[in-house]
Amino acid sequence: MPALEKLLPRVSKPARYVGGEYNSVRKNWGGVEVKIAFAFPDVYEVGMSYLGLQILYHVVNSRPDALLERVFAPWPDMEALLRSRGIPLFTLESHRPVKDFDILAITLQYELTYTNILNLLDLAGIPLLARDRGEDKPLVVGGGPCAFNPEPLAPFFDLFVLGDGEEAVHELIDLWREVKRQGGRKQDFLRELARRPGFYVPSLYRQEGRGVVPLHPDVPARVKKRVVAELDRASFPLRPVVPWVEVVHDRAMIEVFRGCTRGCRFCQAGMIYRPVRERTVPVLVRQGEEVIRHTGYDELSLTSLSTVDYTCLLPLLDGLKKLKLSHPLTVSLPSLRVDAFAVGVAEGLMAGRKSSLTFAPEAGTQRLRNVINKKVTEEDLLRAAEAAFKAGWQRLKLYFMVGLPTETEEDVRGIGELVRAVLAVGERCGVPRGRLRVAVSVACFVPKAHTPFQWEPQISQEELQKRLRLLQAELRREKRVELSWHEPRMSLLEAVFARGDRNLAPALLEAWRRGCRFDGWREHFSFPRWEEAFAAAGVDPYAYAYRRYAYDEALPWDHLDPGVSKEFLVAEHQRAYRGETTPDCREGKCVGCGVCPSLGVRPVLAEEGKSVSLSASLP
Amino acid sequence: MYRYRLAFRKESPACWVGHLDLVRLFEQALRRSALPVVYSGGFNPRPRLVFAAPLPVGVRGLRELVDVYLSSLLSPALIQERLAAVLPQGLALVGVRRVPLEAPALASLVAGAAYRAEGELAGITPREAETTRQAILEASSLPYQRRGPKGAKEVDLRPGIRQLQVEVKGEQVVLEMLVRAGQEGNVRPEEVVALFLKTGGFAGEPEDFYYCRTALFAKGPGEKLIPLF
Repeated sequence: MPALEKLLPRVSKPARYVGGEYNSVRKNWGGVEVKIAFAFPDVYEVGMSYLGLQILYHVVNSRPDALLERVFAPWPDMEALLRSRGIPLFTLESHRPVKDFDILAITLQYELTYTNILNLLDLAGIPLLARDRGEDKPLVVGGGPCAFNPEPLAPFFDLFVLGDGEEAVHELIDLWREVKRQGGRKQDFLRELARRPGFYVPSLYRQEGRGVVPLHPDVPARVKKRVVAELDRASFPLRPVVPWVEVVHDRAMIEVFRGCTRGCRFCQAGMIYRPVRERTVPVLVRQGEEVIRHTGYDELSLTSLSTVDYTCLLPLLDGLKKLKLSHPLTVSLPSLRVDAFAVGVAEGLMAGRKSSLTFAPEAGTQRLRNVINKKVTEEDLLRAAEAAFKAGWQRLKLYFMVGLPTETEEDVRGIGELVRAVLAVGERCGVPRGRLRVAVSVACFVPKAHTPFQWEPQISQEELQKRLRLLQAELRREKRVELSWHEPRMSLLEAVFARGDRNLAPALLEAWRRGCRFDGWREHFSFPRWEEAFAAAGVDPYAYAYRRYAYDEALPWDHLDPGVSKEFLVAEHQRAYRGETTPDCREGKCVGCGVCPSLGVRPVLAEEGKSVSLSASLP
Repeated sequence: MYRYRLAFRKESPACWVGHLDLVRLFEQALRRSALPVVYSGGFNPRPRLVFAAPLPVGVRGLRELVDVYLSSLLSPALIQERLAAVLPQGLALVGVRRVPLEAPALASLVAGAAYRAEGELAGITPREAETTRQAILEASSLPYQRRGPKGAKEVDLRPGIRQLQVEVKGEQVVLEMLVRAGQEGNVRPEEVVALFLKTGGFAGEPEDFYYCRTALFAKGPGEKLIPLF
């Protein structure tokens, strides 16, 4: 620590780098066979909000033969100090150099963290290209949503893990131990792992055209994702690390379910995390209680992609309300479904504190909402708004997207009309003048791999700007509307990498060399630097973002299999153009997405009608 | 309602946390302890806590103080035991005492603070150090550019410096200071070190020193400072 102590007085928020938080685990380095450094390629406050990190931290550190320590992207002030003083990037737990670990696992949550990944490798003193890393260098492994199209990162990684990590990580550690004990090399390990589901070794494949094909006959042509069949049995962190400083999502979390079957056609999470798997109420109540007791948080977030859809939401809330705690507890939901029921639930939770409620209608007209399969009507939204205003909320936040496939000016104007209709409801409900507010937050559509819109082009920057200006004009006279939008050039970059192939890797490298860091942060994002990088690498970014991909062309992610079939995606894409919606398989009818037969799993719904017996659920 | 005064140490790694996050850490620890803490009212009830004086980020504290309120009468030993088990690394309880409910607010009592600053200065001699010390104490005013959120402003540090001692062993320099703290204003230890470096013409930076607040004081009779715990 002495070297670190010299740096800390010179950086902003030094607590980001010290480790030793409550519930953090520091193991005896010498007594452990497999050492993993887990990197979240953004700052501490963002990374520590990520439940996946806490799950893997717990799963690995529960093993006596392995340890997992954390590392985050150093803020530029710390990066400058590390570089000027020649200090290699270190982990928070033991403050050991990352390069001393066996494995460096990096979570891939967002395309705009890719330059941070290269920066982490470089600061760690690890050669950026996998082929330049000898046996003495850590194995670099990626996982998370972007692992479902990791091709732009392929040359930098030894391995990608597809799907749920909590079981796959055990298999990875076991095999690593076995291979190392037998004196095997990284290549032996990777070659063996590549034959197993969930493990994609990019060096055993090559890009052919735009697709990716295996180099050897024993390497599978498609890699299936891993799925934890039953979440009740999956390991869950009851003693998560409590961050030193307030983080982005500073609360205890339980994961109510994984997977979402609403089927929004733009949404990658809704496709790659299928099928839906709910935990049961007794398990969730016990987990909630333990997490609260072991962290001291006064807020418990019920996380999932759409918590209001949880089959047993009311019994769960009831069970949590009955917990005997020594202090007050607030239960919160990360997002709300657009209907009056959801508002009722939120009202029950807020106990008088009514800051603002958030809904995501996503599109301004019914026609376009049908196209994207967002099964929300204007009536649903207005009823939800009415329920919210009547319950005492005065500010609503609405999420929309612009640039969705088939969108016209009428759809953009529709956003304005919908917002005005919500304001009218507010007036009618008697929200005091001057208090009524509708915050409108607009994202730009980004086509994502493994979704029905994966073939769709992103609209041009000029067109995006035009539509945003149109929306601005629509809402200009409304002083009660707070309009904000996502930086369109960031969305462009996201689209480039979300549908990119291996040819993008040199551009990424050029961008990092030119100083690109924290591209998802407006204060650091520099599009001109990216333009230079693309030019230097001889890559046309627009050919990725603006091109309509063809059904019959091989896609850079076709070899990676989340279980949802391409036939289903094609059918969904065509239904989108016909304006037809597809039901949610929660309602009982299989929509034929292919995930269950392909992966040998099925949707798991918590049984309804079971009484919640707290005493029975306690250990 | 019963009021207790906790004396605690804030050392590495917890000393790298700022005051607002320290409050958060204490709130969390109190909830984990399941002690019968009194909560504030309102939509967002929080444990009722009153800290003596914020400690700058990176500065250790050997005898920091916070008042907590409990709804039942418990022995200080029991409180200490329950809370000690749930504090994060770097925070440790030094003592717990019951305080009369009607005693003045803790923060209003603070009038002074003692700090120790340790560092290395190449080539410094005890004589130079002593001359510098005297120059500081004999100055009628010590203008200093204090950087704040609204930009720099000039302040006079001299009235806030009550005592200053310097010890030199080889290149190791230890400054012990007693400075004004609390509602009448604060002098920060790195400001005194910066002044010392500048006055003595020593090559070094305040960031290279290790800082520790050793005690907090209240105003006693006749401007005399008495330890708060």
